Amino acid sequence: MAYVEPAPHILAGVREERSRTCGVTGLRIFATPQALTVANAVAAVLALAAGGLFGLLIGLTRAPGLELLGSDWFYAALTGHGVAALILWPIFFEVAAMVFASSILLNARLFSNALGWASFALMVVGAVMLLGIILSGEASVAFTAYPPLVANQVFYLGYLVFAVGALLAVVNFALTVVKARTDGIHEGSLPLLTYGVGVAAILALLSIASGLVALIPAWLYSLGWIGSVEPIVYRGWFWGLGHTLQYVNVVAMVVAWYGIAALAIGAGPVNQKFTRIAFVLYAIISFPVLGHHFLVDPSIGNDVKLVGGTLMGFGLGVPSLMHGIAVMGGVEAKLRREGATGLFGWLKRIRWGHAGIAALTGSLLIFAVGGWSGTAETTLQLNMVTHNTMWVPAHLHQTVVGGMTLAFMGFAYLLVPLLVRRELWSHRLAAWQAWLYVAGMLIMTTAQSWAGALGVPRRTADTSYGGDGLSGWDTPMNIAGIGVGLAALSGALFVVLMVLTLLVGKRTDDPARLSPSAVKA
Amino acid sequence: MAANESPVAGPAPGWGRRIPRDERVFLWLIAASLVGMTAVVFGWLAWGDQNVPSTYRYMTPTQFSAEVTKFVDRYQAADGLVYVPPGEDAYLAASRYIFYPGLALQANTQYKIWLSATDTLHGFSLVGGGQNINLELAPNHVTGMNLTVGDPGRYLIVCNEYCGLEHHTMKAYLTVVPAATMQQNVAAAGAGEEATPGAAPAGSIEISADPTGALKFDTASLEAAAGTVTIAMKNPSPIPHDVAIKGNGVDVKGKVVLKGGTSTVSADLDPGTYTFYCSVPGHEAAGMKGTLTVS
Repeated sequence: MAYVEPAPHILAGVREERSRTCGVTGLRIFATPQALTVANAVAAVLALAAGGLFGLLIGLTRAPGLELLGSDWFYAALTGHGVAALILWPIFFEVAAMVFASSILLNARLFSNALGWASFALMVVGAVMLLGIILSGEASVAFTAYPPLVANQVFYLGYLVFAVGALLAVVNFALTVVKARTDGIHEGSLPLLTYGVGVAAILALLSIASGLVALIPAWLYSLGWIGSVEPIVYRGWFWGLGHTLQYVNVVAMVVAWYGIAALAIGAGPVNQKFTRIAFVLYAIISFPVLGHHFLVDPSIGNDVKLVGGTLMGFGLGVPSLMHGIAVMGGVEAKLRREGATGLFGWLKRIRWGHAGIAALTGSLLIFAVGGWSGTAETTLQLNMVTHNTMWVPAHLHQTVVGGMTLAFMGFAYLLVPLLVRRELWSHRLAAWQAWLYVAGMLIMTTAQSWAGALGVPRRTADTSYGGDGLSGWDTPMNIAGIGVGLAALSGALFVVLMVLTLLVGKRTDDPARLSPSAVKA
Repeated sequence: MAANESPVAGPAPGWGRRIPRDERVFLWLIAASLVGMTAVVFGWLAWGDQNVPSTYRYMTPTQFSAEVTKFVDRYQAADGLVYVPPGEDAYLAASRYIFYPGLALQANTQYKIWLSATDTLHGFSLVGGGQNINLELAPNHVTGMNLTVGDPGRYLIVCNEYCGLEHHTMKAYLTVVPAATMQQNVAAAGAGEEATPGAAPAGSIEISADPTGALKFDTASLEAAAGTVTIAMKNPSPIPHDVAIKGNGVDVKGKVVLKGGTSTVSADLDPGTYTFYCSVPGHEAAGMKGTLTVS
């Protein structure tokens, strides 16, 4: 390896940034990216707490046996749940992942510490604006905010400020990777995790750009500066944000899968080319697939719906299947090398009581169910049965919650102790938390799919329709409510565990106590 | 399968070589399932029972409302339902928070139903009777759905797209009747009609619904002398409205009218305080009401 003189840099150079070497991974960690990763992760956990609380409230309102909230509060909570749990929590966590993957994994400084903090500050301000206006009841338009429904303009501004912050984080990520390479700190192909986060960043860029095209006119409309917004066109651009963002989430989830397998078991992908092709497929297919939101919309031909919705939707299953087999195959190969024999001997060697492994297993399982339910509803004809029924929230909770959120939780259990050099407060409780989440999500989403097949609509404050609803609707929605309760309990446990770890976890530098693969569970 | 590599460090040199056999077999299995699923989707388009409607028209809410009003005037029976004889097209407008009009169709007959929203996005969700058909409706876009109805009965329709704070009150029934009932009502249609709305009777109090589609009248308080009180409400908004009076044991409603129509309600009122309101679901709750003081 040839020695490359580091290029001078405008922001570094004046003052050497403090750094340390991680005792477990051997990575060189600079102070600011470490602080920024933790800050974004903390904001993410707080957003998850808010989103989970809203989720509990709406889940218990949808259960006909409880009907907790009145309709005005229900629609406010519904909006808050979408914003906090589907926008704020994943994006904060993904920005943490971007800082981590570009800087820490490459042993490099950030391109710009100031840009990193500016992005974080904008995102926090945007998040506070969004949640504040939603709680005031002036933005009960659901997180999709389809015009001509109108929210207070602060709602749109909050979205825009948050989006600009996230955009800056993507820029900083890309420039950090480039700088690490031009400085000669990193050579050759990128590590798989950084590569994956890079694909997520590209999708985030497309997603945010599309979101600006949707939300700026909606904001102007809310001010009365423009007379109308064509709802179908808005839906197109909005889902350019909304669904592409879900693939930012999916890619980040897959990165978390590889991360957990590596940290907890020491397993890597069995074939780098195979996994990288799968990542590239996400980058290609994720944006056009938004067509599946229009399968039963008027004025769009079946040809467009079939190609942009159904076939692209089928195609999008391919990379997920590839990653699923690559992660599981990697774990199997590693355990076989450690001496597992027979067809299923490797399964007996898995430490099911380990929090990371519980989260990885649950995430793989529930995401697979979500892939199946999504493939069903992206089928042109079946979409007539499932469109805007409870089948849809079932699908998106299988993917975004049972898949992504659970994977992020598992990754956080492994990563946060390494970053803050404190022991996880309780490994045993963390494993229980993950399994409880799996149970809650499986119960909830299975019951929701059942309800959706019976035609129960999503996003309505009154499942019983004042007594006019069908008699078969009550049972699955009540069961879903039980699942919501379990998942919320488990989610609260996660937040408590994270807070306790950050505040009172035992300080240590001992690799044997910090290493996720060494801890006893 | 090859050896494990770390995802945290860069890949070993030569990682770009041919993908091993296990993975290639897996890719072929995926490809085969894609081909199979695609064949089913295209096959179903050609030979299947139920497919997504593909007939659309572009009409502004005003144009669509005019079509619906013509249709209602022609076939509405005394019970308020619109009895659609076989062979005729049906119309259904979705607006906050009503599907208008109430449709009655003949059992085991195929109809073409033209659906559109007049104000914001709505959903059409036919869920009664073991059905589960869901469509998205948008202003300016009209969907022509071929629907073969089944046996006589009342089938629940709900809105499946969030459309405002009273979204959960947006529901209707599709009434399916035997051929004999259909014939009786079609023969009698128009007979029980009141005079074509449009002109307010002399001596009535004239009010108007908000023309922008906000759920309110142009006034929140009215005054009248005791005796026969008549309120005539013009509807220039894209949403169906009526005018109704309640309070002190009185409860009377005018006819629901679309854009361009006038709804009229009359009652003999003693001195006191009454409420005038729009009885379309959710409208009163959203603020479409006022105080009528009779002295």
